[in-house]
Amino acid sequence: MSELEAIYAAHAAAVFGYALKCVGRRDIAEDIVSDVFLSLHRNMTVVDLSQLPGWLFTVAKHRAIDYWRRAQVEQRYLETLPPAETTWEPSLEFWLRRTNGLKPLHRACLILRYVHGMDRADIATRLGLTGNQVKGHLQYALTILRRELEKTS
Amino acid sequence: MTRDLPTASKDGDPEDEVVAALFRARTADHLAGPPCPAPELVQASQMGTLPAPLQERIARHLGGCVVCQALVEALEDPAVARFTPEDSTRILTRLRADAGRSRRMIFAWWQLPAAAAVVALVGLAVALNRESTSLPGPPAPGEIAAGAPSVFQLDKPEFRAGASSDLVWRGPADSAAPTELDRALEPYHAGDFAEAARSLTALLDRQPQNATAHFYLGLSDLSRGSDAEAVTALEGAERTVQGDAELARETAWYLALAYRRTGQIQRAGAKLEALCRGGSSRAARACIGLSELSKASSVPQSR
Repeated sequence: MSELEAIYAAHAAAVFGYALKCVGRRDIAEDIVSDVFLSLHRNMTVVDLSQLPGWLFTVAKHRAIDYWRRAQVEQRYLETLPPAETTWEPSLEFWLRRTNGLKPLHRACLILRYVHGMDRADIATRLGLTGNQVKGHLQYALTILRRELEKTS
Repeated sequence: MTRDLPTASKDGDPEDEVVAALFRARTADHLAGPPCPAPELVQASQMGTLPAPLQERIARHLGGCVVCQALVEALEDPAVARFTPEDSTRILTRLRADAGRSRRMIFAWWQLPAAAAVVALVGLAVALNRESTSLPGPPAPGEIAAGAPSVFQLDKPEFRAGASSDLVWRGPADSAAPTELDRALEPYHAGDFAEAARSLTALLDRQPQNATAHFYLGLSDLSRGSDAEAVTALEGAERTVQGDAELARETAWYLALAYRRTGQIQRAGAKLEALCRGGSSRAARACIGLSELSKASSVPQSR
């Protein structure tokens, strides 16, 4: 077990980040990481340890593909949606991406809350925060946006 | 387009509602048509882990949507997608336990939420097929991907109902008497919905504020085709549910279904619209449901 734990300590963060990108949910990413290292544990004698991080990412990706395949019913519904037509002014892009003082965390909170309509608890789960932290980030982000607005008008 | 912006609230909520409304309006104005795909789909589309047709579709959306681009950019920032010591410890603890356990247990993560969708498909056995006869026209061929059931099909409701599992919502009202609720739910698990309706009604005589009981009474009614009674029961759940966002969402979904079955299309539409705007797991189906609903109701009805 100690060898497994050493490998875990070295690579868990990277595998988690990779899995999170693949599935977009912290809880599922956590399941995948746990599963990946468990697979390693089972296959320790046959896995070429020099291939390690790569092997872990490959397993994680396969698990993610399985996950989406299993979620396909929801996806079928989504597939029937016509793609949104988007037109935007440069000012929106400026607002969303380049407003000074807005950190990625603030932008994520803003969009999840006001575009996707999530409540604070949902956002907290998704971002691995507490509800109060989300509240604080949103409050801060809106203050910054207000300042930007007043500057431009 | 003019919009009525709300005035800033002076109550406990610290949010700047004027700016929030403006943000909402600005982002919404730039998205004609349905809302952006769920954030996890947009993220996964970049990694190539989605099934091919979906992959393409979402990648195309992402290519043209500045809002999704900004979101993905933000979500992938190391400060947002961080791996905390707590996360690490939690997984390691689990790993130690699982590594010592039998090999059969390894794929336990498959049982997690995504499996719900699969269960819903398997649940066709339970689905009631009277939909097509009792309701305004089914969607035209091709509107719903081949093999996909109508979104309004009653998906296996007993999935949520493991009486002793964590999936049962226990609001403040029923925490005092969990075993009583469990007992009342037994016929429901067994698929005897008429008996379930009786036992839950009896329970509600004693605990009229038990939102979970109202909810399952509504599902029992839907399952046995007592649609008008389902409306009453689910409205009861809606009235009594407090502080349980998930139960509230599930209630709204099944209430929309019940309204639709009883011909209250406008009310069904209002519920679906609210769900569709929310970012919950029900949002995608609610949005589709909404478009099915509007198509069906714009067709002259023969009845």
